[in-house]
Amino acid sequence: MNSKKSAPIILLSLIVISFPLFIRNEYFIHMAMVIGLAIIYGLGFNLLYGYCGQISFGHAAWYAIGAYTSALLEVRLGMPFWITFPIAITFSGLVGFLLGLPILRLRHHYLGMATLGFGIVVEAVIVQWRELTFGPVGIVDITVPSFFSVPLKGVSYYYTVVFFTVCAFIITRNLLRSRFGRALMAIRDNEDAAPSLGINPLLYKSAALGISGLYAGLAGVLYAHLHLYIGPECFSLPLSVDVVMITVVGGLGTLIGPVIGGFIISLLPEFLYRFVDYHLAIYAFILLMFLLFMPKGIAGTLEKGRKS
Amino acid sequence: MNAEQAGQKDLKLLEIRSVTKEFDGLKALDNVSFTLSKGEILGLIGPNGAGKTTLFNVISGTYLATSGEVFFAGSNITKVKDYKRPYSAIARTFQNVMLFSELSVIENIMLGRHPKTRSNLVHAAFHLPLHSKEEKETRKKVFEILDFLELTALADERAGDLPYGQQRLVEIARALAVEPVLLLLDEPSAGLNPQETQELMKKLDITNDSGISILCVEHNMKLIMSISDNIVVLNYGKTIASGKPEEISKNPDVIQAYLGKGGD
Repeated sequence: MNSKKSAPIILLSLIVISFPLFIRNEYFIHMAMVIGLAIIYGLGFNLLYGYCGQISFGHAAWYAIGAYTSALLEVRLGMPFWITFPIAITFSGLVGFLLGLPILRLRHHYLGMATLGFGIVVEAVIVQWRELTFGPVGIVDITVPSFFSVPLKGVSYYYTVVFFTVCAFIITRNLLRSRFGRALMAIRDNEDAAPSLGINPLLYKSAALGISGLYAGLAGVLYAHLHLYIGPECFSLPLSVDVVMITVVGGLGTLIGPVIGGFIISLLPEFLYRFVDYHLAIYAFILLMFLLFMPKGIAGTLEKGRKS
Repeated sequence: MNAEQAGQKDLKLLEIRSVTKEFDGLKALDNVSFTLSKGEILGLIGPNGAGKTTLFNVISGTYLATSGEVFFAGSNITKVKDYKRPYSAIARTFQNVMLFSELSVIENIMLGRHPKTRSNLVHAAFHLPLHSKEEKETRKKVFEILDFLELTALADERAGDLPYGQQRLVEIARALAVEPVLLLLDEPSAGLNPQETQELMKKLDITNDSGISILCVEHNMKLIMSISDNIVVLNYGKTIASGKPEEISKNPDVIQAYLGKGGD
């Protein structure tokens, strides 16, 4: 890596690492973690939609599966965080992959409908299956995880979130610059040509949904142990819209897009708190404006500007 | 040609046995049979709608034959899935160029290496040695092919931005990256100017000399007559003639198929 490229990365790392040392305000630390979760969530969605061309309108379902799996294993079976955590993300990834095998035979808006339906079904199951999920009451007694007897809350949890966000980013980058990543992009650009190069589209699309499900599940687990409460209302339709926003505003099919989008979409409600009733309408307007005038999002537009 | 090569010439590489393909009862291919010997260039010609592309799709597995069999290198591949066939070293191009338009020329050709490599998402995610080793080999191979087709200058261009003729060459490069035993070319000269067509013919000759058998659909008669060892003519889904180019060009059925029934 040349120095021109690594300079901003080093600067960003310094800011991220030293942030809690200078900013003592708990609210800002909390917001930083919310941004981290949004980035992880967006990275996975971008892999699915931006790089593999497969839409999901029910992505909150995987967020919920991650959060609920981790929380329920802890509350119902008394498992510690470091056991519930890998089980939860593996499970949400597996659900993505296995669901992908039937539904990713669908294309375009049919796939949109199927994923939207899945999101609604998962939410309904959480609300209705009270014996397992506590229904609309939610789960209130999630505990603070600990790492070698250090409780992970506040600043220490901030570093935990940073660690997983960085891992998610690096792994995404590695995946995209590989045989696997190229196969996803081939499917996005021309699904009918992919088999002539030995690519089984259904398998790769399902893998993409699996990975993005795993990422959403990871964000969900971190969410549950950040707020120490989860309920069905946390994972309803607006959360599925959020991830589309993060990726489209940030830059669909760009590596850095979800990072930019994660910042903007997490901070947006803070500026719009006076108009809380109109959130979805405002979001829809922003989304529409981006699709019309900046379809490649902020990162895509900047990249284009730099080239020309 | 020595005795060994002469012997190999007679080996059947691709055998189409009474293949019929129906679409809603309409026969796009009707009892088509022919053989492509190892090392040859076989031209496939016929008027529009004769079933040439359908036949290509049956060979590459995009369509499954309604009846009949396809044998490749001695094994029956009639029912083998399309995405498995490149692993038996069958590569193809498409009549309407099908590149991955957002990707660069290099990335497109690297995709041609897919069946020759096997690192999976775990190797990639954690940069395991197999991934790094294969990426290096892939790039090397891709640059050899770029060099061969004189596309090196375009390596980093976005494939969708290239003029049509160059897109065709990139698609051929991508198919060559598969290191095929059998290369299926669907109208390779469409969209090329006469000079580019000349260049292409030379490249195809070199490719063939390196041991790659070619099945080529082509509308440019001059081109197909001069590069083919043998020619098969389709009309209305049936084989109406097959043989050496010089025989084909004199065959009355072929002339009639192309020129119509004249005074009738």
